[in-house]
Amino acid sequence: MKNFKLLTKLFVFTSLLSFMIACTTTETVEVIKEVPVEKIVEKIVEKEVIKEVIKEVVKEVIIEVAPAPTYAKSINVRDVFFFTEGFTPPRGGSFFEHRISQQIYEGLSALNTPMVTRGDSAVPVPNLAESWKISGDGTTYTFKIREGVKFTTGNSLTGQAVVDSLKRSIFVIELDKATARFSWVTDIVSIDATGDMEVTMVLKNSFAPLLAILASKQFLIVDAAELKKHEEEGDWGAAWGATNSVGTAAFKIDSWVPEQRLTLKRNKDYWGGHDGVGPGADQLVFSNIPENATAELMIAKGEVDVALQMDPISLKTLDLQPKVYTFSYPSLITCNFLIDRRNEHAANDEIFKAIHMAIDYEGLLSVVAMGLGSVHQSLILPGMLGHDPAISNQWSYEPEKAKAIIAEQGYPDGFSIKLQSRAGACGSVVYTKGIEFLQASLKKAGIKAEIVQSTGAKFWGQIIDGTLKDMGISGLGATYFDPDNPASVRATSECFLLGIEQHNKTVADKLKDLVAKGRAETDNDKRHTIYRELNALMVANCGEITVLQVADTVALRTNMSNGIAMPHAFSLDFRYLRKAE
Amino acid sequence: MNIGKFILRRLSLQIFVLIGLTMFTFILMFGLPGDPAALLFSAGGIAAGMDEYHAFRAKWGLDLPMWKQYLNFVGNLIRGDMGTSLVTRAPIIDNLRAYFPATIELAFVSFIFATVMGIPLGVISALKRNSWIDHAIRAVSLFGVSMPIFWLAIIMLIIFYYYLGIVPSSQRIDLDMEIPKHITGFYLIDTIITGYWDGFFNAVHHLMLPSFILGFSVVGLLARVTRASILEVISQDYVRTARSKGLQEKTVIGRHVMRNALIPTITILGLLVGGLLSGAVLTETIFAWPGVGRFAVQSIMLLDRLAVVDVTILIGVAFSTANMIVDIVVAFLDPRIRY
Repeated sequence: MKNFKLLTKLFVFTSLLSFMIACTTTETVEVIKEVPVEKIVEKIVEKEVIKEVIKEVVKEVIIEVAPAPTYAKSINVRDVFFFTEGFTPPRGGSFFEHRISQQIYEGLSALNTPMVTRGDSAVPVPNLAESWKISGDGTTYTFKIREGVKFTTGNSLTGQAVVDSLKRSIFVIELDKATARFSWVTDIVSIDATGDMEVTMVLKNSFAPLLAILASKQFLIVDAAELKKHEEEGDWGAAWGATNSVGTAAFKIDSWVPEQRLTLKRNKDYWGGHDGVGPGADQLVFSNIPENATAELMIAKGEVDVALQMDPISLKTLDLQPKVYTFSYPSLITCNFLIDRRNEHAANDEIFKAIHMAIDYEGLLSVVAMGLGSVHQSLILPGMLGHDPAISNQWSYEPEKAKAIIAEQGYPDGFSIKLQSRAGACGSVVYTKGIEFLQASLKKAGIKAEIVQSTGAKFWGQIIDGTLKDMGISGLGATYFDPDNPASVRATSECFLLGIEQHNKTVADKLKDLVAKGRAETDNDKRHTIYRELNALMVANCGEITVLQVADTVALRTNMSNGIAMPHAFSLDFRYLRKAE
Repeated sequence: MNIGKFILRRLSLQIFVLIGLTMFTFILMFGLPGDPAALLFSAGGIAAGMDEYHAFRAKWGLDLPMWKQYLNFVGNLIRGDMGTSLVTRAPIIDNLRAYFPATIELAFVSFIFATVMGIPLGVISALKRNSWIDHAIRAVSLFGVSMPIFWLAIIMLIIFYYYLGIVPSSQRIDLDMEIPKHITGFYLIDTIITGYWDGFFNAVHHLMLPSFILGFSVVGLLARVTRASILEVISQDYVRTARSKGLQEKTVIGRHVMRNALIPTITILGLLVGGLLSGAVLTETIFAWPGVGRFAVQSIMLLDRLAVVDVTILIGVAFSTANMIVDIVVAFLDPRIRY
């Protein structure tokens, strides 16, 4: 009994002591920032890409990364994921699937990720296609396929392999009845191997976004012959390919355990990439750590090297950690308040303008988004043709002016509206907080907003049915870096679902016309003019009121360097990462 | 009625429980507003993919009226088909096979921990009534019952993982260790079967903190119920009689007090199984534990109705089975109860 008493006292004492140490140590953390040693040498070169056809000079940022003398054994990455519909193109639309696909597959073209990160115009550069020629009328694309590239299956990349891969992507898109989302594929007349290392694609009509699309997830190149061997019920290996990699890129899938872990191994036969950068680690381990507080501790302790998808509060906390640093880059996601133009109040153009003036954009950015992003009022993003700061930053918070307009329109005491709040977030903007902030913001302009609880399923269900009476919030993203994406997906879809056609048929027709013109035009200057006009029309008329372009933020241990973002993949480009061990 | 007949009767009653469960959960899920297909398609630009959206609704039977969907579901369930998850696109039975063992393993170890700690603490507390030990145990019990799991888990992680480094942070096995080959889904069993001993010890290590957190609130409850029960029994006439017969205190407590005092505790244990299974959601989230709780949460968020109903059925079956076992054990302990 004596021993028992002693042990009990010891236990209580130790617990209290540990707790006290924990509390006091937190307050006395020495804030020393160990900034990683810069190993990047940047130079901008003028690179001509098939000058006789494209007739323009493409600037490409080439980043020379010090070659890894030895490969780091492993880079542990914190991520959040649940299941996968597929890493193998064209399936899989989640951020995680995009992120992984771009590490294990490559396209005929590629985006120059450092340029995209900077927000510079990102014209696609040759990748698995060494070069390309476009016919004068823009309907025939001839790709010269890069020699010496091998799939991780051991098969060589040839013209025929590229044809099979593209045809397979189209086949699976048709299988999934998704052709409407990729309407341009119905315009394909033929895709043929016109030589051992040459592919020719003929289209019915000129289609300018093609090169950007070929760098996006759905049309990355796979070893279709290998997938065919694993066909089930005529799916061309889609089910098997969901979690097996048959690409050419720097990494390949080693193992996948749903909701737990994905391990990618270095492709030892990697050809080097369009920018000559190879991976710096033997393996990447992506672990599903859903709770931010747990992930914070893990990176602070050094158990993970890179943390993706952290919430803004955790990132601010991590900024105080001496062995961790964070960096942000503009993502391809925007935050939007959605309202149907058939709504009693939004149908009035003047009140619609007043609603724009009743939103505190800067406040939303600093308070809700915690500074992670920028005020941006258009779905066409910086770096895309058609982007114009005069359009995307035209509104400012003027509640008194908004109030006056509303009064002039017959509502001297303002009006009431409901705001649908729901779970979710666009970047660092948690929907519930965004809606609460909007409520306070509108109040100053005399708009009495009542928050009602909703779900994503209810909100989007009402948008589809055309029955949305309230205002809501949603993140909208682009999956390929071309203005055709926001134009074709957003201008002619959500904008129409939100009643533009019923509100103003002339504008609706003009939008459709501009989308078609933008796709067909091959001259970039002319495309810029078309998309600029479309941009202005969308911002002035569509029910998607874009407020912010959110930033993706990554936390890294200080022994990690060269964090280069790949915004179109919602990711880092993991080839660049170097780890000092 | 003998015990065999009792079990048969309970099992047959479970069928009605299951029908009630499925119907109730199904109606509840349909009561939630919204269209799951709309949510799934919202990310890619809905209008651009309206054909795809309608084809998806037709393929998954989402365009059918609720009663028809329910009858289809029950019909498939009778044939052993629990349906396909809208979210994972895999048969739900496969998802449950993947996720449920992790939850059971965690809940089982928590249950053992709670029982081994809670009952003795309750006994000691009762026997040392009003001593400082009693006060300490009652304080710890109150702490366990009152502290939110979320808060406690984070504090424990900060102390024991971040500062002391004596427990792992999350998941079922270290990030740099190979995940055991899936045989049963229970890491402790699979590692033994495959002789993966490093994996076994690592899995045990990973179970320590989450099972402590999950079990801690139950420890408090058990200790308090046991203490109250013993204090009630210890003042009964038959205990006084036993003492007056000159029996040793050990025998009085062991044979006369404990046997009667444990009946309410054991009844509570049955109820706690359900609590441990369904209450694992928070613990699973904090410790990145790939269990059925997180699967259920994800399914609810994405309005994956069949998956939610199936998880409810599974937990319901586990809960009622645990209670049936408790009834049998109580019958052995309490001579007044005979089936």
